[in-house]
Amino acid sequence: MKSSLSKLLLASMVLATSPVLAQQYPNKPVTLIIPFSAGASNDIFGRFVADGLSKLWKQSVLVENRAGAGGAIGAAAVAKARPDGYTMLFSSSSYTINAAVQKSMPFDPLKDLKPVAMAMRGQMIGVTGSRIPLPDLKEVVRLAKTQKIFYGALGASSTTFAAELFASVAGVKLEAVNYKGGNEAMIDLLGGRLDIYFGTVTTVLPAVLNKSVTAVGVMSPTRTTALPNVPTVAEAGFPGAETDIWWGVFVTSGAPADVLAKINEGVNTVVNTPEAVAFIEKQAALPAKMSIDEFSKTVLTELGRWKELAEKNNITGD
Amino acid sequence: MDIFSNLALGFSTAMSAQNLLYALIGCTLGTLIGVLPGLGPLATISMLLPFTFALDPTGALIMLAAIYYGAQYGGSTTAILVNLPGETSSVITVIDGYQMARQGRAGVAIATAAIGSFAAGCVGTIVLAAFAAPLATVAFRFGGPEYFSLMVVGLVGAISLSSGSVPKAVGMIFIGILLGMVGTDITSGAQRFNFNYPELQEGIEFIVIAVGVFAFGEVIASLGDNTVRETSVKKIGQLMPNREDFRRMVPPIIRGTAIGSLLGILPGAGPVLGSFFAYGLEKKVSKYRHMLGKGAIEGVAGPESANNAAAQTAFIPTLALGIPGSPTMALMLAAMIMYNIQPGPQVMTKNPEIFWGMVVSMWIGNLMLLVLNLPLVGLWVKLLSIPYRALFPAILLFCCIGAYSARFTSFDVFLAAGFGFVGYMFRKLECEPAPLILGFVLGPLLEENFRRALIFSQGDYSVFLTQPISAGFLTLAAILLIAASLPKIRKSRDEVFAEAG
Repeated sequence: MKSSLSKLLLASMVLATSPVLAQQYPNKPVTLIIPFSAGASNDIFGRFVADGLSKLWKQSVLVENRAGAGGAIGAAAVAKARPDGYTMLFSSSSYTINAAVQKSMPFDPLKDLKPVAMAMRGQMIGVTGSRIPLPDLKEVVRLAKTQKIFYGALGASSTTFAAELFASVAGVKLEAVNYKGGNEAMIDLLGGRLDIYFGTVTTVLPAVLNKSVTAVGVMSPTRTTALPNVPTVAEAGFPGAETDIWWGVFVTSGAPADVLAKINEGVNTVVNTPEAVAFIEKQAALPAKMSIDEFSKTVLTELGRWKELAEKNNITGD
Repeated sequence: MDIFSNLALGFSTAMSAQNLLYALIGCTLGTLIGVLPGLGPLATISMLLPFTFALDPTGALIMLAAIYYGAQYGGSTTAILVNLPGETSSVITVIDGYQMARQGRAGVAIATAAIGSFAAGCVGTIVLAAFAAPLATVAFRFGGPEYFSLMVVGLVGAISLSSGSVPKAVGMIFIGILLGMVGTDITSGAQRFNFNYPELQEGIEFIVIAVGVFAFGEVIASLGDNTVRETSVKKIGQLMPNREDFRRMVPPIIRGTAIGSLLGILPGAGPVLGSFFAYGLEKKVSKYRHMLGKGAIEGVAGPESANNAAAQTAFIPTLALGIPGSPTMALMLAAMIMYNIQPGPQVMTKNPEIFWGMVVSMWIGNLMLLVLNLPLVGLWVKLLSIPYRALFPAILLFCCIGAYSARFTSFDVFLAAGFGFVGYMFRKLECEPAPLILGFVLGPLLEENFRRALIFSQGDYSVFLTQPISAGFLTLAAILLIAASLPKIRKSRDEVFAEAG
């Protein structure tokens, strides 16, 4: 009788421990570092997540823009913070790309930061211009074997890697033409100078709806709601060329497991309310819902894939 | 498409008490952030964007647009008063505007900027209303070769910006181009001139150079000048332009507006190029060109009209094609998409009240800015009667905030301090900083477009001459170069003949 009571007590203590600990976090203001300047997609989404978390936790989540070096400066600041989860990083696909192309980073992207929660993901679409008629991806590949096909690249970015991933899956070579921003590439596409550009839905949608460019493939496992008639890359004949862009939260490595769980749960809650889904969809993105392990695995897989492509195509960041 | 019925629809939308209030809030905010260095329209719009979700789409877009051109206005105020261009497009205003301020004509300069901007804004609005759809396609015609040749014209024209020595101006342009190269090369991904500072990987911020070379340099120079001790200007003088001033500002306003309206359509550097080109044109054709650089009203009226006209017509590619020409425009576009407005040719037919409401509200906003800014002239000018011992620390403080807030890093503040000493040296060596800024802004565009043109042409250099628009610009550049060197050749020949005789 006595022992069963103590067992019960023990069991209830064990059950109670983790929620109690988790409720302790956050008992003071949390900082969310956005490694890009105001106005970037990271900034818009980061501020949105910070706002949601502070309402959910009833604790202020302060946003700090620490731009520079393609996000490395802000990430390094979080890497060097106390490993207590009170300093978070709001990064994006650029995280794995930088890690793949930059040789000297001010932190170790594999060891110093822990991926905790993917907040949103976005789809990329391949669009073709009118320099030569390219009605679908098969035609792009057929012509690329005999002549130069120019694609719009944005340095070491998801756009460039999406194009190189497609080229490597299709087994052809596409010529990179670099631009500072996607909109400049779109102008050359519309002006009949550039042939193909793999961009975010936001960048390509106006021109696709005007019928001034042709959408040839969605680089996702599923079609996009914005353009339901455009096939996925797999449907267009190139399975394996899928890549999404994403935005997510990282913390300093070594933060307690219950803190990580609390942040993961918090982010997943914040981005999946009906209002949040409406907001995110207006930004042409989708809310994500991943466990810590799934997100960590995504980051690792991408890192390996981009490293391979970067070496093969000699894409460097410094 | 009946433009009058469209404008009437626009007026009925924009004139609602609520939308007028949004335009007023936007203009006031814009003027304020324009006056504070560093805090540009981009940062402000992105911070305010979430707050506008509560408003209806038309009202929100009217307010955001008002912030955008309010900032264009405010930027010239600091340029004139304290030698600090808050935006790239007000760099040129510094040259004659600050000289006017030192002569006690700050009020006239600010009023001229406001009047010129208003006049240009009116024309820009009409251009936007009448020709948005046909002009939008002009943007596509500009590819690598065309942009490259346009930049060449701009850089050749920059030589004429300086009133001093030509070799010094050329040298400053080259230093500017080199500064513009700092950071990641977009074609190869290679790092250039970053000296292993990660802060330099994305290049140098414009505001850091502007704060250093213009404002800090000026403060150091003034401290070393024993003749001025109390306040920056002895007497305030007249506040409003007189009849003679009005007579002189009209032709440059017309010329500036024409140039600005055209260049604004090109995505990229419309307002900057517009103001530079307008100044260059004044140097060539104005009756008072000998006074430019020494506080001529033409040097304020022309560039200010041009940058405002360009700011207005920059909406053409954004609205008509859905392709923004600048980061600020990209944000406006994001706002439109957020309100379920799909930009593109169909915006005019599908959401006419929003399109025409915005067009008309731009005009109303310009009028508001004029009404708002003219009474403020007296207040701004009074700042100049603050003694140096109080004014200088305040300027330094605001400049440091400006340099810091661009990227939130103290590295930029130190960098600006370094540029302050460089700016002081330039002043001592009588090298003018405006050509340096032009090199800094246009240099990267020149390089990118040159390399893109050659990638597309597969290494064939003749593309710059076989493309008609590009060939036209290069011819213009050659003519400018010959025209600029002719007086020198003639002069040296005269000297030779004089010696021989």
